[in-house]
Amino acid sequence: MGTLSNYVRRIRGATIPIATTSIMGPAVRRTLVLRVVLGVLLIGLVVAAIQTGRSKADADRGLVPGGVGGMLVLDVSRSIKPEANRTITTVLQQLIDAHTRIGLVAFSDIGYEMLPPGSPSSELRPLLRYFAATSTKPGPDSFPPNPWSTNFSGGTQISSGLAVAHASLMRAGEPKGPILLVSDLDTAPDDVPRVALTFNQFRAQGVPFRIVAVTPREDNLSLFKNLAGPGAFTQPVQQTSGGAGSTSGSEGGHTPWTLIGLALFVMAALAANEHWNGRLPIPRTST
Amino acid sequence: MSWRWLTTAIVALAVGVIVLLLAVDVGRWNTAFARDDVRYKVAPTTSDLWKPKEILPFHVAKRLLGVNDDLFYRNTLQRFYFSRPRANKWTQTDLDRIRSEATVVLAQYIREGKDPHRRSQAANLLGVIALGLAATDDPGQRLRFLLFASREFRGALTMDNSNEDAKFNLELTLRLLKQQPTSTGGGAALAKPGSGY
Repeated sequence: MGTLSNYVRRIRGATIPIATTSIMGPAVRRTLVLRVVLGVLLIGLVVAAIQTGRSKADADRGLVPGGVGGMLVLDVSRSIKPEANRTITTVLQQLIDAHTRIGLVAFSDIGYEMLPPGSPSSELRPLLRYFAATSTKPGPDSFPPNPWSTNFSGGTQISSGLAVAHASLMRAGEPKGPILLVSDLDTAPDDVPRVALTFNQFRAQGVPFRIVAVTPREDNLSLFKNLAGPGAFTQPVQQTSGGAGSTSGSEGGHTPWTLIGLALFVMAALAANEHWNGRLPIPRTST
Repeated sequence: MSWRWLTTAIVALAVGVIVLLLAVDVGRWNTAFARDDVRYKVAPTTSDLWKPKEILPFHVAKRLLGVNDDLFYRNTLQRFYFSRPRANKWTQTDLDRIRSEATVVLAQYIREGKDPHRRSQAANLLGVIALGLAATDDPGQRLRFLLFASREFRGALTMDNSNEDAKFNLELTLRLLKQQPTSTGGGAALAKPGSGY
């Protein structure tokens, strides 16, 4: 240490020692430590605020690529477990809250257009009761039955749902309309090549698509990440208030409390910096 | 010697070392392509092909050489090999999955590749995979994959009209399409829309 300080002193050249500053050594060191700590804290807070703001921007942009219009392709096959209901409810609720226009295709081993493209997203509200996030009664059949479970639900052919959705968009004069797939990705083995070709076709034609995976198996998730690309996956934003079918109280979720809190912390850290690390007010001497 | 000269000397030495390391990395890339092309011919399933150990961070040498397209092409060919186009899908598990992943990689190369000759090759290989996928009991799916294959072979010829493999494969696919049974008889898949075949 002594060698280093000697070397620094040699590089700097000769200096004139001032006797009066040595007593300020501890204060200088304390100020330096405080400055470093507050600097790191401020950087951390600003990064956190930026990240929170970006997350909120993503949430505001919505689940559907492009944000407006498009088709929701909803998996109602037998492989969809009740545990997936919470995610499906969140997706539906987020789309309803976005007040956008969207079509709906439900699919199992065939696809069925339930809402044409351009329908108000509030039309999704009646579906919420079929995807109750929590069980309504005790026992093995604790979740309410949905109207597709007896006649419609069977094997999973994701390509059929995607094909019906794209055909609907083409008919509606939106060949490049966005598509949001909500599925457990457990498609039939013989459907995998068709899904791959469909994704290839979407990319070639510039059709934006996103996927919300609901309780997927690891191998299926890995396969679809290879087919659609990891960037195609998105997650719905969990609402802090409001439940299935309930939109009242969701207004409270729009207030960015986290961002406000972070901003207050940044202000407090800046004030602390000014209080403890600011320049000493030295009054001017009158000559 | 003043400390300014010392600083300049240190900076020059650092720059010299960086340039030397860059030269070593460039040499490694050169060797990797030559060596691993041979290794690929001998053992195509080797996992560490065309991945030389670089000394400098951020793939500086790779960026400087501009070998991304060459790497992309080689990795695409390797994915095609993994899909085992000659294998019988009834005796191999997960072959459809692997072939599906290969179709995505090939389609990506066709979209993003720079060399039209190589893109034509990729389109031809994509058509070959589609021919493999057409080996199914479902007549509708067979027709769909055959049509897809014929489209890819045509695309390959559009990109490079001297691609003899694509010409051969297109002729074979069109013959297979002609044999496909439809509700209105064979050959409907090749009829022009509205021609009343």
